[in-house]
Amino acid sequence: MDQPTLALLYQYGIGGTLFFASLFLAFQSGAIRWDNLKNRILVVSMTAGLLLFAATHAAWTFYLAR
Amino acid sequence: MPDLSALTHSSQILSAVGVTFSAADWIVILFYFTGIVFLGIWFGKFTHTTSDFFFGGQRFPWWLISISCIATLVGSYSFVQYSEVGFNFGMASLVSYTNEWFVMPLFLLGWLPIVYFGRLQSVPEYFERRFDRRTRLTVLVMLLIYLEGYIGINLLTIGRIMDGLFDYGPLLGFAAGHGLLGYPVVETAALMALLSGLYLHSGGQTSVLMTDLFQGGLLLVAGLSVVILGIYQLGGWTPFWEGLPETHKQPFAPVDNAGRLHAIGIFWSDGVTGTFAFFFINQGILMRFLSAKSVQDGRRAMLLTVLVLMPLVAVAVGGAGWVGRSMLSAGIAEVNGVAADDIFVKVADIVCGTAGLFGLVVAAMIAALMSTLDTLITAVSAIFVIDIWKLLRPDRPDAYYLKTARFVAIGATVLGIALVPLFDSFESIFRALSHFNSLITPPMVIVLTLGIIWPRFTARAAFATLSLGFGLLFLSLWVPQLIQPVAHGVPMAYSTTIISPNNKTTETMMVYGHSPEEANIAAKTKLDQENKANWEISEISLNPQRSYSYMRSFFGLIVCSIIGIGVTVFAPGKKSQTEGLVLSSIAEAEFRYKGGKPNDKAPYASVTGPFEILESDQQRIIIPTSMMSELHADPGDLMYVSDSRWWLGGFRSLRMEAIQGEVDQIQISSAAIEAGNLLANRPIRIEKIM
Repeated sequence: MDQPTLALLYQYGIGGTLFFASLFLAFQSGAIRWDNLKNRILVVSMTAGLLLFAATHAAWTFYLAR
Repeated sequence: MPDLSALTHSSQILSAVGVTFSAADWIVILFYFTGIVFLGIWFGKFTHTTSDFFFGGQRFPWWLISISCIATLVGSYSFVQYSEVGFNFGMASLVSYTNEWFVMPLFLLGWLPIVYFGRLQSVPEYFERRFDRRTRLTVLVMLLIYLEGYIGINLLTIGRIMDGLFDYGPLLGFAAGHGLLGYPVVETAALMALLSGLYLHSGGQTSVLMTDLFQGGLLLVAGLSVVILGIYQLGGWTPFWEGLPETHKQPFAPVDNAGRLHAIGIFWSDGVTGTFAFFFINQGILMRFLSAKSVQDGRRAMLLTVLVLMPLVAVAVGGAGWVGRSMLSAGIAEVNGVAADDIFVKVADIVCGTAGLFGLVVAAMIAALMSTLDTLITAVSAIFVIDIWKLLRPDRPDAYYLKTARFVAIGATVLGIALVPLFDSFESIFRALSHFNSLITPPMVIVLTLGIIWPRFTARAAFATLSLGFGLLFLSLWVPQLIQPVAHGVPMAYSTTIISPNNKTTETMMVYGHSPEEANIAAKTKLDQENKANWEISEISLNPQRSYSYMRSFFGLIVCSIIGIGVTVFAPGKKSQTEGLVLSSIAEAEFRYKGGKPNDKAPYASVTGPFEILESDQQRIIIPTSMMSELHADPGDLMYVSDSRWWLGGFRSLRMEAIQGEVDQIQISSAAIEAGNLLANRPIRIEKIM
C-alpha cells in the first residue's frame, strides 16, 4: 500500500473509531437522545461533516493528486 | 496547541527579505490600529460585572463565537509557520486545520454541556468539583505557566516580525536598529501589548469578541488574497498546480517521514492531543464558548468553525508556501534563495502590487497577534480571580473582583512583556516551554476524558495520572527508548559529528535510526547525497530531546490511560463527585440549570415585535399569550431577548425567564432594558433557548 493511502486509512480508521466510540458512549449514557430533534440534528451534522471530510480527502488522494 | 519550537526560526523576517513599504501601507496599518483600539474601548463601556468581563454576559450568537475562535486560533506565528510547512511539504500543511473531527462528539455532547449547565467558570474548577482541591491546584499551576509562556512567545514573535518594519530609531535621532531603549524587539512587543491592553483593561470578553470579529475577518481576507493573487500571477490554477512537486500535491504527509512531518505523529500530536488541548483545556477558548447565548449556539459555533472556517484558515495561513514553491518551479527569481520561514512575507510582497495591500497583510499579522493575545490575557485574569483570588478573599462584592480582574489583565500583560527578553536571549527556553506543553497536555487530556466518560474514575486516580504521567513523559526526554515500543516504527534522532577530508572543518548533522548502527548507515547515505562522501564520521550519539517530538503525545496518552484505569480498578480510594459532571448526568445538570424540566418543543422558534417599557428595578419580560404559543413556550422558560438586527451580534441582548401575560404587546422592565443595552425605539426578537 502506498504512503498517501496508508495515511488516509490511518487517520480516518483510528479517528473514525474514536468518533463513533464517543457517539456510542453519549447515546448509551443518556447524554443525548435520538427522539430529541436538537440532538438528532447535531449527530447528523457531525457525522455528515466527518464523512464529507473523509470523502474529500479520499478523492484528493486517489484522483486529484495522481 | 502550537509547536513552539518552530518559532525559533522566525527572526527579523521583514527586514531579512528586503520588503518595501509605501505610505499607503502605513496609512492602512495606522487606520487599523486606531479602529481596533477605538472599537475595543467603546465596547468596554458596557462591561459592568465579572460575568460581563469574563464571559461577555453569555449573550453572543454562534457565528460571532466561531469567527472569534478563528481569530484566537491563528496566532502571529501561524502565517510564518504554516507557510513554511506549505513550502517544504505542500498541501500537507492543511492537515493541522482539518483533523478536528475526531474529538468533536466528546466536546459537543460532553464537555460543552457539562461546563455550561454546571455554570463552571474555569478549567481548574472542574477538576476540584469532579475530583479534589489537590488536583485543581496541580492543573492551575500547569495552566498558568502555559498561558503566561504563550503570551511571551506571541509577543516575542510579533516583536521579531515587526522589528525590521518599525525601525523608528533614526526618526528619534538614534542609529538604525536601535529603538528608544536600545532593545527594539522588546519595545515593539510592548507597543503591541499596550494596544491590546488598552481595550482589554476596560472591556474584557465583550471587547475581545467584538474586536475579534474584525480581526478574524481581516486575517482571513488578507491571507486568502495573497493565495488567490499568487495563483493569478502564476497564470491560473493549472500552471500553479503543475508547478508543485508530485509529493506536494498529496493532502497528507508521508507515514514514515522520520524526523520531518509525518502523518501518524501529526494525527496524535495535533489531531487528537492538540485539538483536545485547544478546545477543552485552553481557558480562553472555554470562555468563548461560555459567552455563547446557549449550549446550542456553542455547538453551532463549533460546527461552523470546524466545517467551514478552519479549512479556509488552513489555506489562508499555508497557501503562500504552495505559491512560493510553484513560483520557484516557474523560475521567478525573487523567491530564489528565500528561507522557508520567510516565504509568507516574500510571496505577499511579490503579489501585493497595489499600494496599501501589503499594509493590509501586515495588519492581518498584527491582528493575528492581538486577537490571540487578548484571549490569553483574559484567560490568565479569569484563572487568577476565579481560582486564586476568590479562594483567598471570598464573599467580596462583584465590583471588587471586577477591579481585580482589570488589574490582573495589566499584570499578565506586563509579565508577558518581561518574558520577551528572557525568551529572546535563550533559545533553550523555547524548547523548554515546547517540551513543557507536550508534557502537561497528554495527562490532562486523559484525566479530563476519563473524568467525563467514566463515573468510577476517582480523585486518587486523577492525581496519579497527572503526576505519574507528567513524570514518565519528563523521563522520556532523557530516555526516549521508553517511547520506542509505541512509536509505530518511527526511528530516534542521532547527532552525528562529521569531519572534512583535510580535518579543518567539523559539522554536526541529524540522522535517524532505531539503533546507532542504523544511524551510522543513515549518516553515510546522507553524506553521499550531499556530495560529502569523503567526509569522516567521528561520533554518533543519541539525541534524546530531538527524538520522537511527534510520537511523545501518543506515548503520553497510552501510559496515562494505563495509570488512570489501573489506579481506578485496583486502588480507587474515595468515590468522587459525578453529579452533573459526567456524560451520564448531563440531563440532571440541564434540569438544575433551568430550575425545571427543559422545554424541547419547537427548538428554533422565535418571534419579533415592538415592546412597551415597564417601570421596574427587576429584570422582567411579559410576553403575550399568543406569542408564547407561537414560541411553544411555557412560563419560566429561558428566553433570549435581543435587538432585531442580527448583525449586532448579540451586543444589545440579554436572557430572561418568560412571564406569560394577558397583554397586547411585549412588556420589558426598565432594568432589563438597561442590562441588555436595548433601545426603546427598536423592535426586539425573542428566542426560546431552553
